Amino acid sequence: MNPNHHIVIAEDNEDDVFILQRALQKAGIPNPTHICNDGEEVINYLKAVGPYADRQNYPFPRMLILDLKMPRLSGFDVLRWLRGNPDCSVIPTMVLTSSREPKDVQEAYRLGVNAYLVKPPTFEELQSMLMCVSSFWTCCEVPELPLKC
Amino acid sequence: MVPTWMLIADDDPNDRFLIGKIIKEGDVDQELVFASDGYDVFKALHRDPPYESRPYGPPAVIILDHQMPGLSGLEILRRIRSDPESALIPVVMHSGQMRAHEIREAYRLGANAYVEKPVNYEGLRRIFKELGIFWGQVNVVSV
Repeated sequence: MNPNHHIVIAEDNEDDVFILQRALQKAGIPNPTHICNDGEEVINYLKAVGPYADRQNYPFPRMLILDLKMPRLSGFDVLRWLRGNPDCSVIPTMVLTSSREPKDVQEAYRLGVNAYLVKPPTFEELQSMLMCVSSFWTCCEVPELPLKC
Repeated sequence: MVPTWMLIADDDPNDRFLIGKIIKEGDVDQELVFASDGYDVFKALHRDPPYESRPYGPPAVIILDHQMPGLSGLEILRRIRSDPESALIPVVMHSGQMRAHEIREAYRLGANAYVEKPVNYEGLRRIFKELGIFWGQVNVVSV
C-alpha cells in the first residue's frame, strides 16, 4: 500500500481515538488517517455524502480499520454494507476491537473482513501491533478503487 | 486458541524453501506445512495422506501462489471459500506477475491480502517476513 493512501478508522470512544492516534504517530505510520465516530459516518465517507463529497480533502480510503461496537451502525453493519456494494467490497478492511469472542471473530470473517486485530492492553503493545500492521500492508497490492461507492 | 500451523502452497520447490526459511526467521511459532499444487492444498486442509501428521485445527493462514499448474490460485481460492470447513481461513495470495484485474478478482473472491513475489532474495525476505509475523502473531483467526 502506498504511504500516501488514506486510511479511515472508525472508533467511537474518544479516549481510544486519542490513544490510537498517538500510537499511529509513535509507530511512524506515514499514511494520512481520518477518524469516523460510527459506522454511519464511514458509509457516508465511502459514498461521498455531505462534507465527504470533497475528495480533495477526503480522498477515497485504501484501507478501513473498524471498531465493532459503535452507536448507530456497528462495525458489523459496515462489513455487511460493504458486501452489498461490490465496488467497495475490495477495500482491505480490518477490525480493531477489544473483543476476542469467537462469535465476533467468526462473524467478522463471515462478513468478509481481511484481518481481525484485538486491542492489546498496553500502549507499547498497540504501537508495536500497528507497526506490524503497517509493515505488512505496505507490502500488499490493493486493487484500483472508485472515487465513491 | 492460536493456530499452530501455516500452509504454504507453491509449485516451485526453491520458492517453497525460501518462503519457509524467511517466515521462520520472523520467529513465528507455527509449524509450516507445504503444498506443491491445489490438490495438495485440499489434502492438507482435510488432513488426508500424506498430511495426517499435520497439527489439528485450521491454519493461521494459507499462503497461496497465484500461478500454479493444474488448479490456478484463483480456482483454489474459490474452492476454499465455498467449503464451510475452510471458508473463514485467511488466504494471502502472491504472484510474480502482477495484473491489476487479477488482484481485483482475488480480493473479490475473498483473498485477505495480495503480495508481489519479488525475484530477488532481499525482496522476498522483506515481504514474507512481514507476512509471517502479521498472520502468525498479530491477526486473530476464527477457530
